[in-house]
Amino acid sequence: MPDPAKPVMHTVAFGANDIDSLKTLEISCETQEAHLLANIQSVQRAKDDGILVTAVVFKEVSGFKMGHLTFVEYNGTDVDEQSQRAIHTSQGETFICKGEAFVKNNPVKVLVFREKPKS
Amino acid sequence: MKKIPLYLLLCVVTFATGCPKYRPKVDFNNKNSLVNQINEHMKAKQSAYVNALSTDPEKAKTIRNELIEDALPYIDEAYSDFVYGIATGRDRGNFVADVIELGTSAAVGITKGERPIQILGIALTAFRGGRRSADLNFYKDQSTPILINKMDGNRAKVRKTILDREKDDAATYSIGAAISDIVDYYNAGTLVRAFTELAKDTAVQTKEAEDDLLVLKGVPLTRPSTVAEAKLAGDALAVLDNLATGFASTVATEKANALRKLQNVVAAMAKDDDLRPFVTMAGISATDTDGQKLIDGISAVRRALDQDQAKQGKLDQVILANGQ
Repeated sequence: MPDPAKPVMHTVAFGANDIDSLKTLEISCETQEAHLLANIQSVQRAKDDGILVTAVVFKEVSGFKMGHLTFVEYNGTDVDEQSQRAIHTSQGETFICKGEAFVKNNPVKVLVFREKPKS
Repeated sequence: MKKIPLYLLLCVVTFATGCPKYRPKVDFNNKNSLVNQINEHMKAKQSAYVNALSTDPEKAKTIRNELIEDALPYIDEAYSDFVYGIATGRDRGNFVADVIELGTSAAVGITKGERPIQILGIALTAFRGGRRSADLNFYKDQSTPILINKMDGNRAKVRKTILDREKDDAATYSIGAAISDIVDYYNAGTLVRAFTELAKDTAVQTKEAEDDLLVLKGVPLTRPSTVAEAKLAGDALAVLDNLATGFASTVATEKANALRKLQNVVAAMAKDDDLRPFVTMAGISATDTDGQKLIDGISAVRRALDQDQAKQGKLDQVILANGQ
């Protein structure tokens, strides 16, 4: 019996070579949010039964307003992270998390933002 | 008093015309010139070094360090010229020429009349075997600033080693080792070395990257969504949001309207062979009049279809067709 007070999490794994661009990862995560009715929490590089994957964790939420996601690549430095956050925050986006993903089998550092949901 | 206008004129001419454009004396493309200049410089120093070694080791150390410090500017000039060349764009023909390295060679410059001592010098060597033109073509795609940064870094590392070793006495740091370091310093500023070091860096980064990976067990792989699938899922979500808002409305007609659409969605789900088992699992039916129960039930089905992208797409279409 699941604990109602404990948030329900879902982990979705995308093959390292299946994601051909950050845009593909972005729309795939948006689709998952819409289906799981959950919000993205983290993006991590992982090994799933020995296979390199991008593991994305979602937390179930109540309600159906999600808003679009924006995935941005950065170079891993604080300076780049802060400047990207400043740019996207000024556009009304909310910073969600930073993490790492595989794009065409190559590790990429990413920042995830959520566009303001349309009311 | 006439001197003052003359000085003024000289100053004006000097500053107005500017410094002459920097043109390194050593042309990188003419490697013989560079090698000869360094070898000529070394020959005289080495003779003095050998003479001093047995009688005055401290003097030998000084001569050795002078040999190094006087040779390095030739290499620095050649490197500046080279970097300027690749930064401003070169033709592809030059590329292969640039992968020539230097090596140490014995007995360079022994000529008639000189003392019969072994004089170490530097020599041109062809680029290392094993690196095929296919590799070079691959590396040609590397960004020039990355290569220049790598060469700068490589040179700085060798320079530091030289500075550290210059503190050692002549017995510990021989003139042969010093010449090897000079050669290393030159080679550190070549594309071949930049490529090799970049390849090493990548290997280390890959190892480090693999070391801190999260380990998952048994999570099925999810196929990335297409743009059409993402749009369909988003549109269905918006319909559900409208229905939830409608059912929560205080306006009776809106509430009733939303309930009717929710019932239609569930009825369509129940008619579909793939979705019917999930409707049963969620404990909902088209005759339910509790709109919130229907919303929760449809949400439960969406989540239960977690990894079945085909059925998820089907459910999205059912919601769009019956919930608007």
